[in-house]
Amino acid sequence: MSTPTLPQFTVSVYQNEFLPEGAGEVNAIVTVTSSGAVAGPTGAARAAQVIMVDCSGSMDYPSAKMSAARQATKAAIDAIREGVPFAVVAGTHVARMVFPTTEYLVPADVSTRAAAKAAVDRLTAGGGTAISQWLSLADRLFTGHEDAIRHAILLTDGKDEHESPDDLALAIARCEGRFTCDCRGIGTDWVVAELRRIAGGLLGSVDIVADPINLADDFRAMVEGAMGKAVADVRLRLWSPQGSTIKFVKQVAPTVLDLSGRRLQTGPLAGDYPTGAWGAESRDYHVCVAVRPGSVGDEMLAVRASLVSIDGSGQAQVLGQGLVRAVWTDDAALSTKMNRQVAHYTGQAELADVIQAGLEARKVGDYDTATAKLGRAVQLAAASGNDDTTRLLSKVVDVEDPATGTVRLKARVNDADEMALDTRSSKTVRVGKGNSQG
Amino acid sequence: MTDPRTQAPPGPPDARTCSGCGAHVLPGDGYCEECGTDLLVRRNAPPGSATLPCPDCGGTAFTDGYCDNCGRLAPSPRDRWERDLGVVAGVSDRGLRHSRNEDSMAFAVIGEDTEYPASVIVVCDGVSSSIDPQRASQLAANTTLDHLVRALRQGEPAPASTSAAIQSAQQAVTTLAEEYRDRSDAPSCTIATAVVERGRVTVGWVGDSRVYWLAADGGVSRRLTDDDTWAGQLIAGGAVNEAEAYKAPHAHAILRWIGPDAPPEPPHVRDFAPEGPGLVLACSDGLWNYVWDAADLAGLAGLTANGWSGLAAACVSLTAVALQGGGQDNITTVLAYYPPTASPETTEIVSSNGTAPSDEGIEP
Repeated sequence: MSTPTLPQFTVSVYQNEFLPEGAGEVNAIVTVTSSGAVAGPTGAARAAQVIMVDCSGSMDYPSAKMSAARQATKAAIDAIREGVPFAVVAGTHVARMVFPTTEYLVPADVSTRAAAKAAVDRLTAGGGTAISQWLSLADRLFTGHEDAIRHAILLTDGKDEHESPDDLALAIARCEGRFTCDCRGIGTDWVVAELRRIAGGLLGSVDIVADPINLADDFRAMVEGAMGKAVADVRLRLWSPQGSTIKFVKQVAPTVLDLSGRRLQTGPLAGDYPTGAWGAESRDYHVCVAVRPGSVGDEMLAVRASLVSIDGSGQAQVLGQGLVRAVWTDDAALSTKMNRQVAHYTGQAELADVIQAGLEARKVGDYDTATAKLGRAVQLAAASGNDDTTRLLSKVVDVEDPATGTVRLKARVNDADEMALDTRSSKTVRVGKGNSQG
Repeated sequence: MTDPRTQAPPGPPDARTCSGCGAHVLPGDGYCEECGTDLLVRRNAPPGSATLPCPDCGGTAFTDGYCDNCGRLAPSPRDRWERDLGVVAGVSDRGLRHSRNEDSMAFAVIGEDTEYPASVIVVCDGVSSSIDPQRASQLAANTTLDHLVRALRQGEPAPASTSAAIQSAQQAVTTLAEEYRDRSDAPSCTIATAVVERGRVTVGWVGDSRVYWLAADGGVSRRLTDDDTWAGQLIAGGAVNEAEAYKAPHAHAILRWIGPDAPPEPPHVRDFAPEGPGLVLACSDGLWNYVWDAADLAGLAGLTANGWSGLAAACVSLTAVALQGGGQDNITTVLAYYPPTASPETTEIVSSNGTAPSDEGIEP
């Protein structure tokens, strides 16, 4: 088998390396940019695709949901690259093969696409919801395709109500690292936290499709995105010196995703954090590490951040590297300066937190907390130029003054608007869009 | 071609070898017949390249310049290096508050057995707000020394050679900046030079590194350069004294430097005619921030009765004063004898009763 040429990765580190005497916390933003697939016959990486469609009884209420799901799945099938193995799964309280009818993946071509679309046209709604069953089937389907970039789409309209939360958690844990999964909720009866847990564990995106009419475009885009991935199973490898502690590792752009708990120790001083598959894209990570405090004049390497690709045989190949340093100084002008990128993403992560906390408080009737949290969110979103979030917030609160975060909760809020705000709370903007972070 | 500096000294036949290739050379040879090495020039060796164990944890493996175990910056041979050519000696030290030694020094002695001996010294101080300043300082020091040695061996006068040499360093550091195209803070440094000949000391500088004349036996010691700083301009204009001028918050900000964005004026060059024996001191501000008075420096170098223990020891003592004072910056100290000859004349520095130099020695 010929190995496709790996894409070019560049790693840039943004930080203020200067610390006052006695300090030991080092913060840095690590920006990773991948060139995507290298052009040429060997450029296209191998891929595998599974689509999981909710066929529970509620999909017929209203019936537009089931028909939109059929249309979207057919659009996704059309977007699968020629030769890429795929399958379609119907999800209820059990998982059932739609195409092919037995548990394996078939390569996409004219006839298999036509057969798959015909099978999708025959999909009907009926039954309950047990998402762990769907994930387990997808995992079985990907078995034997470990050298491909494995991607799944999961569509649901309801709560995962025919199993315990533990069943779902266990299934997610088993699938971590096996495939990536983009999750979509249709309508307003599904639970944001559930899909966020699946997408977080399986390193995919989560979003609401409030209007079924937009579903086909969204499905097509997700499959095209997956087909554009050039390298699977990329990990952020962090080396940090003896005596140090990694306090947290978060992806902070394009969305906030805490990777701290996902560390896989790879050596006495190094650990890997999964980042999934990469196409032509750029992501930012916030790394916070506590090192032994130094004396003025000392310089230390606080973190060596590498992007590594793990091949089929488990060998790691370094794709790019950046250094996070600590330099102790008694010049307060140097050590008190907060790095602009670090400040920005600290704000964006807080923005995601206060939106989720504010909506939670609102749900349980704690309106004072909800007002305070969502007010802070309005302030952070405005200051950082996160216009999409500002717009979503304005459907949940009336903004009196964005600069001070003075807001009033709206008396009536559309469910879809609230879920859209919750779902998209983790979307961030990059530095440079704001007007007060200079 | 009558300038004796371009010719080897007459002398008895003696078995000598070339320092460049080891070939046998005759005492009368100015250059090695085999490899062309200049036999009349001795230069200081550059900082070593040996890998030292980590001072924090004793580790011996380093990656990217940091200890594989505790992350500490790998110790550099540049952290402290001492060189001694007999008639010129120098110490360059990281100090206590900076993680790297961004200063550099380079020096040479020319024709020490001839009738026209000369010592050439260069001190450069990397600008800390630029990236990789030690690259600029080492490149500028080497380039300037090379140029000066070549020019003096060709019989060119020290003042014109000094100006041209510093401009060649400016060229070299500007070329280095091309490696840092996307940076606005390309490597930069200051420079101070001295050419010590019989009857004349020629100094050149850009920035705030200094050259001093330290007179032996009661002569008048003095600073030979004026800093390119706000404070330096005030002092040179006679408005305030040094202690007052350097109290201002931005007094140390340099107005001129060697680097790609440097102001285009030519380097400062002066010459000075000593009237008695003494020492020429070139140093970075890591030293003179602690002791700026020329007479105090002369005393600390040991130019007092019974204090003299040699050039290299004097460099070490001066460096120790700055370290004991706090070592806030890198410290580089290079001393050269005047007159530029080796022992036994050097003992005259403290034993002779030469006349004190006059006050009119400095020519702008």
